[in-house]
Amino acid sequence: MNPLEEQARRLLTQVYDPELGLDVVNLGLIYDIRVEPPTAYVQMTLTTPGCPLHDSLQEAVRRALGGLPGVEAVTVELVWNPPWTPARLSPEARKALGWG
Amino acid sequence: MGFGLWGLLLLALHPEALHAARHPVLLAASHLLFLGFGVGVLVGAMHPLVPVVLEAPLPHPSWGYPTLALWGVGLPLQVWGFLKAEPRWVALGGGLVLLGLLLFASHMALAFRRASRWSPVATALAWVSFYLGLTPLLGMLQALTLRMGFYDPERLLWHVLAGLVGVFVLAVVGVGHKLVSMFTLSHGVDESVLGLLLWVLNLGLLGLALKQPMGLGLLAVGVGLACYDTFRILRHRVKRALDVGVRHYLAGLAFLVLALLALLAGQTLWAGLWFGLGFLALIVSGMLYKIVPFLVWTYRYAPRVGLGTVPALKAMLPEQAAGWAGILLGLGALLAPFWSPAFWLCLAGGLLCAYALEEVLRS
Repeated sequence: MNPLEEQARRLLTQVYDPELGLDVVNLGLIYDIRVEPPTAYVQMTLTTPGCPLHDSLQEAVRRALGGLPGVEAVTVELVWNPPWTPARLSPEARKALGWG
Repeated sequence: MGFGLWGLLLLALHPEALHAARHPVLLAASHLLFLGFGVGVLVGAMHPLVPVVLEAPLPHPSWGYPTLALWGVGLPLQVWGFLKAEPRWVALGGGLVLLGLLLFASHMALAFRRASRWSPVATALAWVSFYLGLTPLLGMLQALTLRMGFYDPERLLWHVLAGLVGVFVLAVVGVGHKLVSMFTLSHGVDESVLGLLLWVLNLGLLGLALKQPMGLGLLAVGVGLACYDTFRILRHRVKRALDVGVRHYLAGLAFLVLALLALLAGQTLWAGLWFGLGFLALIVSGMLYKIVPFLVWTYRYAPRVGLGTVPALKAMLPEQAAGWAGILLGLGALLAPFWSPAFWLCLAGGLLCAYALEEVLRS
């Protein structure tokens, strides 16, 4: 992972699911990040298909990565395969959800 | 919410109305609580929920406005007609409400045809839309035949069953399955129990309408399956703590069981009060504590996510007030069949619930 991709991952920790109060990185929703200025690409999922936060979170990821130096276009791909499972939660997220 | 508070105030001021099945105040209050508070919230919630369940946008979202106008104007006229014993106003108001709900049911039928994914939750919502059209049709039939002849008091039972079981129980089990799963981050629960439950409840409804003893048995099995489905969802949850909205939902389900037991014991009045003031009021207010913050957040804060700090939904709701509202509503509903001042407790709970939601709107 190059330094820009590290920075992208840090920026995505500002994108919160408002219902759970957890960010998309710790929730395990981010599958892939590639940053090759002037473009950035994120592959992500949601905890359930048809999640009402569908548009809000995709747009928020795009906005967050728009702040990377040299990046002019951000592509966010939403995928359902492999499906999200609780095993993707980070230890911090598990603790915040009451299982720590 | 306003219609619900108006209904509670009528019952608190005139508790004697409960002892006559067709008392004007009872007819007015029941329509305010069920058609005003219950259907108002349900129809409002289905507009954002149906696209989520079907994974397809609504064909004509703007149709929601005439639906709202017809229902919002028609219901007070209908209630006024009941209170003043003026069948003309009942028919006019009821007719407007009927048009509004038929428009809504037609819109939902068009939406269901565009579904990209079908599921038992979608089936539940399709049934709810059907009963939302059928219930006012049966009610209008009663009002018109009362004036023009061929009145049959037995048909009142069909109207009541279509509304209480067809609209509210089916809506709660269908919508609840989806929403409680999302709110608790439940994972890996299939929808087979919900699918079976829809068959059982619909057959039970038919049996009750035809006055078959098996109808009540099927209704009891359906309520049992609804509780089992909720238990499965909670057992597979990833979010351990149950928030105030989910706690309201569970308390509401407990009142549904109480209402069923009262019905089996032949205590129709107890069953009606526990159903309306306990089951419906607690579940609907609990869902409002989740839905209203989400809608306000989406409108106000979603455009700022990723750029800076925005509040979580939990921080937007005064949870203590919401919790006390639930306690007052629950206690009031539990005592209402035996102690008429309990309606004032329900009213206080309703006012506190309105305050909590008002705070969300201002957050």
